[in-house]
Amino acid sequence: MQELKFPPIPPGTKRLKTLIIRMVFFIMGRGLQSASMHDPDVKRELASIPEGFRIQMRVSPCGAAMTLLKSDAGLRYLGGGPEDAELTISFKNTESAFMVLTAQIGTPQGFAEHRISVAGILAYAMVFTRCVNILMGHLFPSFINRRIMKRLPPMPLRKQWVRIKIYALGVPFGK
Amino acid sequence: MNTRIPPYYEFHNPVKIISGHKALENLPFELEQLAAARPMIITDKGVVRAGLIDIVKGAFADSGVTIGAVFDETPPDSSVETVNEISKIYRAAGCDSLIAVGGGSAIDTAKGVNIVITEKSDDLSRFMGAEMLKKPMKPLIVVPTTSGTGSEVTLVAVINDTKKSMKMLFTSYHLLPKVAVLDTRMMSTMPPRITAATGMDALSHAMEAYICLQNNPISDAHALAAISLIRDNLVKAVKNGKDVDARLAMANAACMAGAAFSNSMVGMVHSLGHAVGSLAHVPHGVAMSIFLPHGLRYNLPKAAEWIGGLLLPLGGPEIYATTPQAERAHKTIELVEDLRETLHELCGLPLTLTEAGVDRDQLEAVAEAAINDGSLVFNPVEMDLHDALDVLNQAYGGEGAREQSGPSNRVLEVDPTTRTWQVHHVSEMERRAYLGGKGLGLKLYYDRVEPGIDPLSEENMVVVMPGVLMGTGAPCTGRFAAVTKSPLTGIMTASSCGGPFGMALKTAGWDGIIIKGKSETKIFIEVDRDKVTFHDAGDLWGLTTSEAQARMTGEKGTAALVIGPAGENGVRFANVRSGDRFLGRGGLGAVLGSKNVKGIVAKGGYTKILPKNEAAFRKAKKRALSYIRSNDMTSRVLRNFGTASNTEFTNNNNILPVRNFQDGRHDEGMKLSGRTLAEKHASKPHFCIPCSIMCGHKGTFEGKSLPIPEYETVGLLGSNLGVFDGDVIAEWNRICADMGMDTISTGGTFAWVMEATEKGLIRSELRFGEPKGVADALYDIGYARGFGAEMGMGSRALAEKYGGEDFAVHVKGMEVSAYDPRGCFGQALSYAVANRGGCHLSAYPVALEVLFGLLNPFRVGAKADFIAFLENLYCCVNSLQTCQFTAFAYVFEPPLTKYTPHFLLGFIMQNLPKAALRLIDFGLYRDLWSSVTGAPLSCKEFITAGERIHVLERYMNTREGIGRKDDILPPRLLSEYRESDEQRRTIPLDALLDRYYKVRGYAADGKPTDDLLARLGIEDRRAGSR
Repeated sequence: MQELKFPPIPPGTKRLKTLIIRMVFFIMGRGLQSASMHDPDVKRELASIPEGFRIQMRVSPCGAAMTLLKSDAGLRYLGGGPEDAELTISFKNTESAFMVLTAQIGTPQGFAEHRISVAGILAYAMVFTRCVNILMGHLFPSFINRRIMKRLPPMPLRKQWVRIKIYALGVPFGK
Repeated sequence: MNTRIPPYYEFHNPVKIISGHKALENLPFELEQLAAARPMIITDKGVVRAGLIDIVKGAFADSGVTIGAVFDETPPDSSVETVNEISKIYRAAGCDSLIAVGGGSAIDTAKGVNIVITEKSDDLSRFMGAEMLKKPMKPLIVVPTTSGTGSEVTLVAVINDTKKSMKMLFTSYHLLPKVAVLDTRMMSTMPPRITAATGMDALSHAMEAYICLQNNPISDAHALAAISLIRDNLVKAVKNGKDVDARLAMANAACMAGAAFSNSMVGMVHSLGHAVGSLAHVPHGVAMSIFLPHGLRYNLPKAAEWIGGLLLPLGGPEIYATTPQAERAHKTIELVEDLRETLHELCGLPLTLTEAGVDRDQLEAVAEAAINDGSLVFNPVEMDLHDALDVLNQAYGGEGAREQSGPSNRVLEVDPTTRTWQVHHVSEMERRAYLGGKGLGLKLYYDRVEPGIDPLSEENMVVVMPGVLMGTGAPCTGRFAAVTKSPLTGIMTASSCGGPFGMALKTAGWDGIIIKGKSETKIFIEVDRDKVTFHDAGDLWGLTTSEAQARMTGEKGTAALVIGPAGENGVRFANVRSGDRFLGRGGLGAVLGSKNVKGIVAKGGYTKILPKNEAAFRKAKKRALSYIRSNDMTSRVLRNFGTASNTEFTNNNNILPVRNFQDGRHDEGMKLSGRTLAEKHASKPHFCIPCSIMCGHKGTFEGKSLPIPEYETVGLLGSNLGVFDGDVIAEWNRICADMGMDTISTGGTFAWVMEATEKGLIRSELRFGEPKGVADALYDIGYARGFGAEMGMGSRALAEKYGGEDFAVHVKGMEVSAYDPRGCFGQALSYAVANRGGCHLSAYPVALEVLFGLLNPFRVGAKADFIAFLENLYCCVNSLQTCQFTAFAYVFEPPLTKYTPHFLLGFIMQNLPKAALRLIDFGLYRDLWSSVTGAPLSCKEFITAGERIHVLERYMNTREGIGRKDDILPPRLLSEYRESDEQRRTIPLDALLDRYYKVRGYAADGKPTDDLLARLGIEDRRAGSR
């Protein structure tokens, strides 16, 4: 077969970054599932979202994804399947997702730099963003959170137990 | 002024802008350039009525272009139905382009129509969100008729889904019009007020675009130019709508501000504006004008430099150059406020939410909606629910709100006998010595009333006092105090209350009101900023508190303090209602009733209270909020489960009153816990404003929305009567509220009646554990019918008449609250010595003994020291005035207390109380008071003021004959054992009292010594009478 002088270039992959994004989505998904069971602030936020509502975070156009289902007053992590969701929060590309998910920039900055788009009811996206902020408060130390958040979520002593539960039970077992 | 280059930004504005006095004439040419030949015009009736659509039609003369259709029925809020209807007309008329003529609604509708036509779907909700639209759309030309929205150059459309009561937001570059035509003829008929409101809308777009997170240098240039144009032309356009140059400049300003915010987005001013527009129907421009200075002020901590940068276009180069850099941000806000004032004077543009017709009850819902608004993401400073409520509260203001620095120091003295009033001016010495609220109220009473009077005679007075923090926006300061001589106890009583009355009185410009004398006829008193009116209340007499309140507070910005039938009929424990909160204890309602006063109405909102030292106040407030947010009790327990959360620790520790204090726990006790009530009755916050703890809740009880009963109510009307059914207790709570009766004394009295019935002392149908007859008996008390009239005298009076004093659980005539002191000796001492009688709030040591486990509940040591200290501290708290629950946060969150290991803290408190008390940091209360009043006060002076207030109240009581003989507990609590108490402990009251008197500096008979009174500067008004 004759080789073309100017051949088409099929899309490449950013394997390492995609792998890290998948891992962060997994930790976030499990973490949110756990936080929705143990953190009263997350529970209170979620009360306004209807049961059966699905929320997806994904990397456009066909990258990793994380889907959550509002069920029994909490969130259930459904994995990264290509499920339809009532609310989809999309990173425009892998680089943007990598920057936000590895805490190089915060969510507000991500929105301000047009790296994230939202399909669905914006009010629920705001609720979800606040839940993610609370989770970040548990997952990351405050010197990181201080860089990426406008205000640190309060982390009193009782929340340290929630943090331990999320790390010890939430992420490994989704409890 | 620095130029900022963000690490990444996007700017997109492909709209062709045609600006000029007859710019519309180019419409046919522009359509031809867009390869369109049959446009459809979308407009509204207002535009047609103003004759503007004729100008547009006229532009097509001799053009050969046929207008396919003109739709002129666009509603004020774009809706899905309208969009779908127009789309059908568009298709039927064979149109190929759209021309929107009008304000935001017509333009948004046209954008919605474009989505439906392009996507060939009438289900708009599929495309809701950011950047969901992928296809190029039909050519859209926009002809704005207002100068504010900037919709002609924005990528946003908001369409109302009326079926789901939801506003759908669409953002996409495809929504941008192809051409915007700014023709002065289209704006010349705009009325002054709409010109002003839309101009302020444009100003808010430009300012928020400049200070919010998505700023970029190209948007900045548009924003700054827009602000300069608004500075020079807005007032001109309002004054003279025919000034075509000013009109053209404003049209350009709005357009540039639109281009700026379309690319930079907006922040909290718009979040609040969208919420108040959607829930209270405040026009968008009006809302922007109200919130803009508040939003700028709120963002000062993170955006002061950029707000200061706005001074150059807003004030002009001279003002900018002569203002020091550090003051530029404040100057910018001042100029925005000046501009608002000018517009207010020119055309009545509202300055506050009150003037815009917003009801204070709507603020909670507005705050919730605001924090879910997408704009908030781009605001520099985080805004949570409490912050939003704070800002709303500041913006609520009132008609012509004027700033007041610190307290007004004006107390109104009203005499219904003569229907006259005068003003007492609070001296600096009174303020420093008695702080405000309860303390100052007691001092004013002390100076005016002789001892020995009958509490229900015209000589008695009621003093209602908001504290210095009320209206400043400090957390948890929606409370006020009232003082009188109690008809239940015959001694002084001071009560604290939330609800809207305090704020209304304070923002009417009054630091308090004294009611003395007695009206000949039934009246209610109306307090305005400069006058008092006495209204006939003949038709209000007999109404329940909720009915009377609804009748008396029809006008916006008013709030009432009302009594129910119980107060009218002299029930000794009648309370007074403010919103859904009560001046509960001691029978204040009966005192007002004895004066023939059904209530007091305050017309608030005239005054905006600013702290004298704003920087110090901001710092103290920030610390206060941070403590509240990080404390478990204030941020979780009380917030989620209310005060009824106490049931868990009282039942578990054997101090829950059961069957008239015959036992301390019950297997069904947890049915009354805050957690159970919250889960079972779907509780939602329902709290005082401003509040950051939010312990109050409402829930659904058998289909009715009722307040979730407080702990004292579930204790006294529930377990103490052997009843554990939340639905039943909530209903009794409602009846008490409507009748105007204190639930603690009511419950205590019922418990005595049930036990007396069991023991055969009296005959009644009331039995422990049986709800039957209770509701009827509650009404009988309120209306003074039959035996109810006797029950209305309280348990002490009943026991004196029928016997059974051993089980009449009161102190000094006031029924004891819902903590059995046999399980916490500190609480026993506190009940015995509390100035108003069986009161739990005087010191609340049960928290240290049982809830936190810091003091051994069964030891005598340390109790006297802590109770004296806490009494002093709570006198300060009730004089500031703020919520007592703040003590959990303000006292336990400072680092020394927070980070000392629990066992060590407990050891020091128990064994070295004096050292422990020296280390307690209560300075935050002092800082709040000092920053508002501007008066420096050391912590020592501050807590001494608390001591002075407590001792003055004690001294006033001792003048009535109170002494050691009265500092006693009922026989049941002193000598009876409970089944559940295996240790069979007895309260060592004498030992506790001896130590307490010593700590206090009282004589052995319990009276304050002359030395003590002299040290505290409490003067005897009648020499030699001590």
